[in-house]
Amino acid sequence: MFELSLSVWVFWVSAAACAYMAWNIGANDVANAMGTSVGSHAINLKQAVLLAAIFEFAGAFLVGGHVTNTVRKGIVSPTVFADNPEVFVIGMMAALLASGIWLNLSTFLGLPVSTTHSIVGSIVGFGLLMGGIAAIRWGKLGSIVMSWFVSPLFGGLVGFLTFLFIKRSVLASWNPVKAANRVVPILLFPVVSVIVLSMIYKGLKNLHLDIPFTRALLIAMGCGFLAYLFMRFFLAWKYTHRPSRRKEAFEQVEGIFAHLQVGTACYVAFAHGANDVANAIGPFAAIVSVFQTGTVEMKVGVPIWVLALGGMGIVIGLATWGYRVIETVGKKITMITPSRGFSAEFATATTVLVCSKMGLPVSTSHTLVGSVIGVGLAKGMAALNLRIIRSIVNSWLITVPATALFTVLVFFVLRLVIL
Amino acid sequence: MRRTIFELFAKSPFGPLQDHMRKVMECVRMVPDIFRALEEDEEDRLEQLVDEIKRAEFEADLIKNQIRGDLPKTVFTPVDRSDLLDILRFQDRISDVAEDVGVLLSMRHLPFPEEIRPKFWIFMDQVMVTVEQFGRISEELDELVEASFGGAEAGKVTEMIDNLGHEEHKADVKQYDLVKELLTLEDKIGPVNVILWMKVLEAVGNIANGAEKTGNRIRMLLSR
Repeated sequence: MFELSLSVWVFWVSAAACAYMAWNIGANDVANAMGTSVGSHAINLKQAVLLAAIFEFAGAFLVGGHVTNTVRKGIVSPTVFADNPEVFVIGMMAALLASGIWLNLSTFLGLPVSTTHSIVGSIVGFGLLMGGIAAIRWGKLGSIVMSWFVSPLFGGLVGFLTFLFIKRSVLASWNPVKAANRVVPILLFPVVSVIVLSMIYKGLKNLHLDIPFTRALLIAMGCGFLAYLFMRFFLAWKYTHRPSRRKEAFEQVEGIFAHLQVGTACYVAFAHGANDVANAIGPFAAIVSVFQTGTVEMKVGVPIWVLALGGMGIVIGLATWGYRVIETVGKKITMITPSRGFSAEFATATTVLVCSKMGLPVSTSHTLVGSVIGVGLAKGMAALNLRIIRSIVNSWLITVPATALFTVLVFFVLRLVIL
Repeated sequence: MRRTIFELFAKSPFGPLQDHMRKVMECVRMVPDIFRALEEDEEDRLEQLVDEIKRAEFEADLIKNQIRGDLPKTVFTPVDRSDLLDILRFQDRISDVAEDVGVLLSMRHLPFPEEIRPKFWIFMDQVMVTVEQFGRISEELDELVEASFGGAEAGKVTEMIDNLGHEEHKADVKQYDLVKELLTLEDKIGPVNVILWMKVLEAVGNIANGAEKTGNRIRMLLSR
């Protein structure tokens, strides 16, 4: 391994790069997750920032470990580097730096950006360079690439079905206000239950509060039921006036759905934090493990302080820059109403959270695009520009090879400097 | 700033489609005024109204072109894009016919014989009832988008369109009565004026026809 002074140097540069990546995610990516809620006026900017801060951190801290494990040891097999762990450390450092620089460069050039695809491309690049074909876990990489296709499609399917349900049960009804008062509390139940379940089942392991599944499920459903009751009484208390004109009735229905969208805004932030934190801390977690154990084994879980660092980085990014981006995105997405916003967000958060638990790094933005198109296919959106699909596919085709090559470059520079 | 999700959202064509409808209505609502000017023999006022109709029709055309430009093939709408363009085309034709009425009346000094006046105004009112019913249907487009073109809202609009058909039929009947009356006046006003009046009445009738046709195009959005 390195000399002590060099180790300290490598550690702090990596920590800084990791914090920068987390900051970047908070500054730029959270806006896509929160923009639809702000755009539909379900929540205002302050509320969006506050909810995003709490739930991005919670998601990153409690559920972020799964995808982080994939990034630190699932794509490139660390055992290939058992004899020279320092190469592995420099490689991960190069991946972090290259991703960070690439994100800035492509933002500057106006290219479509995805932190997920950048970090995966970077790690594959360094793995191929130093370990050859054998260093890549092709099975896992295959399932990751597959998930990039499946996550927008699955989000689209869930969005389609969710909106179809809302359409049939509320919007098609002769008395949509009454129907919304009945259906909206029911829809809150799965949102709250799933968030609570993902928090307490396995999530709290970090805090040594492991709860068996059945008990976790009961607690989660209990919370969901409480949320259901609360929403029922809240709506009954708030909406005493029943509009007679249909136009006003639909306005009130959307107002009711806006309350529900507060829940899905939290849900999206939670899922986003759980998945995307790995893009920042994955390589750093690998470096930390190697330094702690002196080997590339990584038998122990991701250290909780690394998860906390990632979560904090996202929150700071949000507080220092992200709020402005959320505001801009919110101002531009005004054509999405709360019933549609709920459907799309619910679909996105569910898909991304499932992928997070499966350890698959996916793009929240791409999933959201798929979900909104799903709502559109259920005749929910007035007009969608499908050209964005091309820009998504381009982002895969450009980002992965570009970051892979770029990482190789950074790696050579680092090796020249360090070794 | 980064390119984000908002690229996905295109401009809704439904609001502009209603703007276009309102412009068309502006044209049509001037038509009775033109006949009032004719009735009271105010030629300057008539000329002025015809100019105003031409201007409103031109403005409707501008909105039409804007909507077409904002609806490239990559834009995905909840209803068939070509159905929307059809509605736009049919709706635009209403203002064209309204303009035709004005142009025909400004071509030569046309006498407005006392004998046809009562029946004419009954017919004209019925045409306006039909067109206003169409306007109300078009105003429902917002709600149709919200209800995603189905359910109770679609049922309500279907009823309104059925009603539009009835009103248009009444206009047809009244036009027939009026034309019969007109044909008895050949000796009084001369054959050229009779033929010109026939053309004028046909154009007025086509306003109601156009409203009905456009309404039935809106029905196509619902039935699929």
